[in-house]
Amino acid sequence: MNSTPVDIDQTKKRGTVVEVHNLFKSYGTVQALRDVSFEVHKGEVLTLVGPNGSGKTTIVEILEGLRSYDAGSFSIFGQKPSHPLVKQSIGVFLQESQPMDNLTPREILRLHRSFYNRGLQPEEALARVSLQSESGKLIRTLSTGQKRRLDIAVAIINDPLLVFLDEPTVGLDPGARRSFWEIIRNLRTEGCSVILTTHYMDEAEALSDRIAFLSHGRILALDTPSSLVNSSGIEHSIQICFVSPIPGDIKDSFTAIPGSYWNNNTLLFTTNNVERDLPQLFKEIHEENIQIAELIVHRPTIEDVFHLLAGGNQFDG
Amino acid sequence: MVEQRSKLPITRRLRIIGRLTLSFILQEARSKNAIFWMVAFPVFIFVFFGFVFSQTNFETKDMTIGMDRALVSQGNESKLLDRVLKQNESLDVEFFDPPKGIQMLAEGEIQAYILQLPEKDNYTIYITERNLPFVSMLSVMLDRSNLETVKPFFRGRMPFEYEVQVVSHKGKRLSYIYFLFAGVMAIALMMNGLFAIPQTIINYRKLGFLKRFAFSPLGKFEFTCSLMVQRICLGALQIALLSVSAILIFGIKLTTAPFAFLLTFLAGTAAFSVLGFFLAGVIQSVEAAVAIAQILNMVLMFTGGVFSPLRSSPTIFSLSSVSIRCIIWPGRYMQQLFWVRV
Repeated sequence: MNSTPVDIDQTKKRGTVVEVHNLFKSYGTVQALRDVSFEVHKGEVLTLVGPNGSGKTTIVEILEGLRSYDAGSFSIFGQKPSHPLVKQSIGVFLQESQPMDNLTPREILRLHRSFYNRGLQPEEALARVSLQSESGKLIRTLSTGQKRRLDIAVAIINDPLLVFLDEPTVGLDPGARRSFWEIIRNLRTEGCSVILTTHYMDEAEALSDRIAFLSHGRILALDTPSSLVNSSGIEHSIQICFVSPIPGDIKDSFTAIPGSYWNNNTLLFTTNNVERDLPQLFKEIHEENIQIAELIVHRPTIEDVFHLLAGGNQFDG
Repeated sequence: MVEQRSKLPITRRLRIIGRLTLSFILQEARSKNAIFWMVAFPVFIFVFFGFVFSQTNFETKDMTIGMDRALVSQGNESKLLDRVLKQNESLDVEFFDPPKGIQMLAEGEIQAYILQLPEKDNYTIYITERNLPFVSMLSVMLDRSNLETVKPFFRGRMPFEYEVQVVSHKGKRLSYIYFLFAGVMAIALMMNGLFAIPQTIINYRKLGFLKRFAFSPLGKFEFTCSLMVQRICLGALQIALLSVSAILIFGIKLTTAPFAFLLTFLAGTAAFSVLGFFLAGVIQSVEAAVAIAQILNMVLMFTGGVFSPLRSSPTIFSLSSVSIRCIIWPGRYMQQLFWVRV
C-alpha cells in the first residue's frame, strides 16, 4: 500500500473507497478468511451476508484496523486504516460494544466529537437517529433499541465518508429494525459508503446495492440483489409446512432434493421446473401419509440463492 | 472531505484529554458502587479504626535513639532535648558513649545516634540510609518551627550526618491516629491504583470501549493520560475527605509541608498506578485481576507496616535492611512520608 496523503479527488474519480485483495486470515487451525476480494464504491451499501462464523466480523475488524491478517492487501481511501486521515473519515458501529453507561447521549457524543477535526453537532447526530428526547438521560436507562441508535449516532458523529455497521439490528424488534433501515438509507442518500454485515436476508435485500455471500470465510457470490437472483437459474422457491412433526428418516429422504433444507417442520427448496417437481413431491408425501398445513410457491429471494450456493441451511435454527 | 492534517495540535490534545477525563470522572461518580469503595470505604475504615485504637494502649515505638551520655550532664537545653525525646511514645531513648553508639547504629540496633557538638545548643544526629525519614520525623517531634537548620551532608559512604540546631524546645506527642491517618491515605491510593485501574481498564476492554477508541483518532497517550488524571482527581478527593474527617473527628493537625505532601501523593499514585496498569495489561478478567491485586495488597500492607509500625510487627515483616523495599513496598514509604509530614 502506498503512503501518499488521502486524495479524495482521486477517490471520487475512481469511485472506489475500499479495495480488498486476496485476504487470508486464520485463528489457529481454523481458516477464517480465504482469498477474500472486493471493492466498495462511493455512496454504495455493500452487505456481507452469512451465518455466524462465516467471517463477516473478521473482515470488518481487519478493515477497521482492529485485527491483523495473514496475507493479502487492502486499502481505505488508498491508505492503511491506521492513517490519521482515514481515522478521521470512517465511522464504526461495533457488534459488541456498550457506551459508558453512566453518561448521557449528549455527553458521549460530545466526547467522541472532540476526537475529530470535523463532524456533526451532538444535537444534530441525535436528531438523525431520533433520540433528541433522550439526550439528557443516562445511557443505562435507555432501551436496547435506543442504545443501538445511539451507537449509530456515535458512528456518524464525524460525518464520515465510510461507515462500518456490524450486525446493527441483531436482537431488535421489527419496528426498531425498520427505523434502522431508514437511518442506513439516509446515510446512502447523503453519499456515505456503508459496509453492512447481517445474517438477515430481508435486511440485505432491502438495503444493499450489492451483496457478498460469505460461507466458511469465502465469498460465494458478490453482485446486486437482482443479478444474484437472476443469475441463479432458480425460477421458484417452495415452502411446505407440515401439520405434525416429521420423523428424521422421512426428513432425510426429502433432503435428497437438490438445494433443499428443513427449518423446524417446514421443507424449503428451489426449482426451475415447478410443474415437474411438485407433483412428484406430492406423490412422495402421499406415500408417507403425512399432511400438508401450508404450501407457498414464490419467486426466489436472495435467501434461496444463498442456500443454493452454500448448500442447505447455513443459519442457526 | 478528508482534511490534509495528520497530527493533532497540542491544544486539541489537551481538549481531548480534558473531555475524556471528565467522562471518566462522570462515569465513576455516577456509580454508587465506585463511590462506596473508592470514597466512603477509606473514610469509614479510618474513622472505625481511629475510634477503636485511639482508646487502646497501642505500642507505637518505631525507633530507638541513642544519645551521647555527655548530653545528660550538660545544661538545661540538653535536658530539655532528652525530655522531649522521652516524651514521645513512638521512641525509646538509650544512652551510649560515642564509639559504642556509632557501632550500634552501623549494626542497625538503633536508628539514630545524637552526639553533642562543642557549640552550645548544637547536636549532630547520625542516621543510616535505612532511616532517611528519621530527620524529618525528628523535626516533627521537636516541632518544625523550633528547628532553625536541618542540614544534611554526606561524609564518606555512611552513615549520613545531620546537623540540627535547636533554638527552643516544645514537646509534641505523636498519637496512633497520626499513624493510622497516614496509613489509610496510603491504602486509599493503593486501592485507587492497584484495584480500580485494572478493574476499569479490563471492564472497558470487555465492554468494547477500548475497541471503540482504537479506531478513532484518539491516541494511547491521551487515553492513558486521561485515566491518570482521573485517578489523581479521585485520589485528591479521597485525601480531602480523609483530612476533613481527621480534623473534625480526631483533631489532627495537617502538614506544614504541602509541596512535599503533594509530591508524595503524586509519587504514590504513580507507583500504584504502574502496578495497576501492569495488572490490566497481563490479566484478561476482572475476577483474576482483583484476586491478584488482593494478594499484592495484603503483602504490601502487612510487610509495609501500613497497619502497624514494623517494629511492632512479627520479625518476618521487619526486613528493613532490604534496600529494594522502596520498589516493592511503595505503601510503606508512602505511609512513612505521609506520617512524617503530618
